[in-house]
Amino acid sequence: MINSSTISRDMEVLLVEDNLGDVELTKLALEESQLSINLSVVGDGAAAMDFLHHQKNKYANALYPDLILLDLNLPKKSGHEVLAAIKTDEFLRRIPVIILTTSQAEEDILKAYNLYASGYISKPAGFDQFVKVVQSIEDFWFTTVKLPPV
Amino acid sequence: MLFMNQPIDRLSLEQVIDRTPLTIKPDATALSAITFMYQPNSSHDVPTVIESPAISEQLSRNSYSYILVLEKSKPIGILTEHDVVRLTISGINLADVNISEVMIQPIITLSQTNDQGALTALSLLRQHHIGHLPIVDEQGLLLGMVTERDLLQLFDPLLATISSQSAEQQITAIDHQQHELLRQSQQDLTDFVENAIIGLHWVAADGTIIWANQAELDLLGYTREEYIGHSITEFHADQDTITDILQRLLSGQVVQNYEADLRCKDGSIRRVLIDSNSSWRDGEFVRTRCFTRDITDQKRAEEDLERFNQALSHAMEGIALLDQQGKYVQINHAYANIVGYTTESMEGMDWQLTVHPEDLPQVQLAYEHMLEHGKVEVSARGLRRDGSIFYKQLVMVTAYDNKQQSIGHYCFMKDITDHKQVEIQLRQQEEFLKSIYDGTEQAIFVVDVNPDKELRYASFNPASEKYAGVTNAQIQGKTPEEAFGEVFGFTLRQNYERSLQASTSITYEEQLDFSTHIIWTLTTLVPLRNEQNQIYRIIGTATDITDRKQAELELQSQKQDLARSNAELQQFAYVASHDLQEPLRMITSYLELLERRYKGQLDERADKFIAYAVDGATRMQTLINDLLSYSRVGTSTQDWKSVDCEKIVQNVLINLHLSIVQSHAVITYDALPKVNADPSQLTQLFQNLISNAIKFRREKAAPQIHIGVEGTDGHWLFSVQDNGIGMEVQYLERIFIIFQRLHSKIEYPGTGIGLAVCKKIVERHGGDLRVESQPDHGSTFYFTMPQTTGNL
Repeated sequence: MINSSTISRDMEVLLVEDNLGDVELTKLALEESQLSINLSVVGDGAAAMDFLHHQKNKYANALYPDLILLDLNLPKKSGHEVLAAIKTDEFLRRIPVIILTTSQAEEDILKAYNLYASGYISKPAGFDQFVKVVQSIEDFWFTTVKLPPV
Repeated sequence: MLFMNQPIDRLSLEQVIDRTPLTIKPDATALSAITFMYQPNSSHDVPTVIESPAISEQLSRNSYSYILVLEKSKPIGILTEHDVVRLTISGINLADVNISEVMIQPIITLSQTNDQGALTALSLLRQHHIGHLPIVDEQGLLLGMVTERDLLQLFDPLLATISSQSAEQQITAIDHQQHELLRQSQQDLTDFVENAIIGLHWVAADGTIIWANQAELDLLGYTREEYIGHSITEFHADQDTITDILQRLLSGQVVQNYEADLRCKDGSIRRVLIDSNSSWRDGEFVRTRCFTRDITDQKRAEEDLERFNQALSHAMEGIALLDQQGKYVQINHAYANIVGYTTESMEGMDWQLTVHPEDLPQVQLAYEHMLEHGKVEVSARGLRRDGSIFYKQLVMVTAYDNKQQSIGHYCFMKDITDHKQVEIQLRQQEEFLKSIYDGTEQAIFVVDVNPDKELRYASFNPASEKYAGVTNAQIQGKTPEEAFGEVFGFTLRQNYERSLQASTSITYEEQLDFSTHIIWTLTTLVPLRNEQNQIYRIIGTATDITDRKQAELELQSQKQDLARSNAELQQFAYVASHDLQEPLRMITSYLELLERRYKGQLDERADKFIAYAVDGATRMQTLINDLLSYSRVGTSTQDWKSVDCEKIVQNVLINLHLSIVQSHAVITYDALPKVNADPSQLTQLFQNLISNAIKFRREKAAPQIHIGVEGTDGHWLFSVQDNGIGMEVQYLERIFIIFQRLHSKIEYPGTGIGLAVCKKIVERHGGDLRVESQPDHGSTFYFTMPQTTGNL
C-alpha cells in the first residue's frame, strides 16, 4: 500500500519518550518499515519544547517534525503540558501529535483529546503488537492523509 | 350692756379669746384633724365623725371651724372649714396625708401686747380676709384663739346700744376725757360698721331698707341706690321667710341665726344667717337692725362634709374606729359587709374575732408597731361571722383626740381575696415555671436590656450554671465581658446584639470556650418586649450538643479520610494503569522480540520457556486491568441519569451477539423499568451477569436466560436466571469476592473479577446483589435498584 510518489523526502518524526526500552522498540519497529523516516528522540517534556523552539545549541538545527509521538508520563514537563504548549503555539499547532502511552485511564484519554491530540494509542503488550501499531501509524499518517505543507 | 361704758378700742381681747383652742400635732393625719374639728369632745365620748347623720347639726354648736397645727407650742398652720371642703373635693385620701401637708401656712398671728385690743384683731382679720386669728406671746407661743364670729358677738351689744341711744345722752353720763374717747370711738365705730366684713342694714316698719353698709352691698352685688329705698322683700328668694321675720320683729321678738336665701344682683342665691332685733322708741317701732352673715360657703362646706361622710359610709374600703382596748367603736357599711356582720352587731366586738386565728400573732405584731409608729400596713387572713376565710389588707392608724391623746385607732380594710387568689395562682404558676427552670437539662438564661441597650445578665438557671461553670451569683448584674472576660464576653454580646437587631428570635449553634472547658450548644435567643414595644430582656435557651457536634466533626473527619483514601485509590489506579504496566510491557515486548529474532537459534525448550514467560506477563497484565476496572467502579465520573434498562439489555445483547450465536443461547426479558443510574456501569452489570450465564452453561443444554423484574417496597428486584451448571450452596458468598474462582482457567477462563465488579456496581447504586443456585439446576442472580430517583 506504499505509494512512494507521495514521499519526496524523509519523514521527520519526533519521539518524546523517557523509557529507553520503548525508544528501542519504536526504532526497531520503524526499521521494519519501508519508508525512510528520520526519527529524533528527546527524553523529557522540557527537551521537547527546546527541540521545537530550536533552543539550545543542541537543537539549533532541529528540523520541523511532520509528526510527534508523545508519551504522557514524562520527567520535568508532562505529556499533557507539552501537548497544550504545542497546540497553543501558532506555528506548532498544525503538527499532528499522537499520544503513545501505557496509560489506559479514561481521564488521560479525555484530557488528551480535549487538548487537540490527533490520536491516542495505548502501547500494546508484546513486540508484534507494537510493530503493528507503528505500521498503522505509518500507513495512516504518511501515506493516507495529506499533511500540512512545510 | 356690759360694755356700754367702756371705750370701744379698749374692748379687750380677753373677752373673746379662747384659751383652749383646738390644736393638733403636725404628724397627725388630716382625717384625724378633721375628726377633731367636728368632734372636739370625742376623746372620751363616742365619736360620730364618720357616719353620724347629725354632723351638720352639731357643726354650728359643738364644733370648731378650725384646727390649729402646733409645733413646740407655736402655731405653724391652720385648717379651716373652707379647707375641709377643698380637701374633700380634691379626692386625697385623708387618712394617708399628714395635716402638715395640707394645712394653710404661714399663719397670721397677733402678738398680744398691752395696747392691742379687739379692734386691732378685727382689722387684722379683715385685712387678710381670714376668720381666725391665733394670739401669741412675744416668743410666738400660742396663748389662745380669736375668731371673727366671737369678735362680732363682742361688738353686737355695743352696736345695739349705740344705735338706740343718742351720743349726747352718753356724753352727759361720762366725763370729758371719756367724751373725747367716746367721740374717737364713735368715729372708729362708724368706720368699723361701715366697713365691717359683716353685712348690716336697717329696715323701716314698712319693710323699706333705709340703710345698709358696704359689706351688705358687696355681699349681694348691688349699688347703694339699687338697694337702699327698696323693699327688703324684693331681695328675699323665699317670701314666706321674710314675712315670718318681719312678723316676729314687729311683735318684738329677736331673730337669731335665721337662715334665709337672698337674691343677688347676678341672680345667684346666697344662704345667709340673719340676726335681727327691733328698735323701739317710746313703745313705737322705729326700725329693725339686721346682721346678714353669708354662710353660703359654710353651708356648702357642710354639704360637702355630709357628702364626704356619706362617701366614707359607703366607701368600698372598710373603715372602722377601734378603742384602746381593741373593741370596735364605729364601723362603716363596707367594713361590716366584708366581715359579714351588721354595723350595730359589731360595736363593742373584739378585733380578734375578725382575724384568722393563725394570723393573730402577725396582726398583733402590726398593732404594736402602730402603737409605736402611728401607722402600719399588714396583710392577713380575715374571719367572717360565718367562719369563712378571706384575705384582707389592713392599714391601722392611731386616732387622737384634740389633746393629742390616743383614743384607739382607725382601721382601713380591703378585701383582697380576689387579688390573693390571683396571687396564689400566679405563685403556683411561678413555682411550676421555676421547677422547670430549675430542673430542666436545658440551659435557660436571662439578659436584661437597659434602655441605653446595655446588656447585663439577670439570671442563669442551674443548667446554665453547670454549662458555664459559674454560679448565678457570679454573673448576676454583670455584662458579658465582666462575666466571661473581654474576648469571650464580646463574642457572646455579639450574638445578643444580633438578636436585638433582628428584633426576633434567632437560633444558632455556637462553640462556647469557657476558660475551663469547651462545649457546643444550640442556642435560641428570644427578645421580650414591654408595653412600649421596646425590648427589655432576652431569654436564652441552650442545649448542649457537644456530643452531636463531636460526632459530626468525627464524621466530617472520616469523610475527609474517605475522600483522601478515594483519592489515593485513584492514584493507585493510575499507577497501576501506567507505571505497573510499563515494566510488564517491557518484559512481554522484549520476550517477543527475542522469540522473533532468535527463534530456531535456541532449542525447543527455550522457545517453551519464552512462551510461558510471555503468557505469565500477559495474564499479569489482564489482572492489573481487571483490578483497575474494579477500582474504577467507585470513582466513575459519569453522571447518573434516568436509564431505560430495556435499552441497556438490548445493547448488551448486541455486544454479546457473537457468544450468544455461538452458544445458541435463548435470552428473554420482561418489560424493564427506568432507573436512575450510571449507564455505563449498568451496562457492565447486565453484560457481566448475562455473559456469566452464557459462560457457565451445561455442556449439552443451550443456555436459556431470562431477565425479570418486579417492584417491591420502593425497589426494583431484577433477576437474571439461567439453566447453567449452578453451584454448591457453600460457594454462594465466595463468588462475589474479587479474584475468587470456582473453576479452573482451562474449563472457564477469567480472572474472577466479574461478579465482584457487579456487586460493587449494585451497592454503589443503593442495592443488593445475591444469588440462588443449585448444582446443575442453574443460578438466579437477584439485584435491587431504588425506584426513586436521586444520587447517592
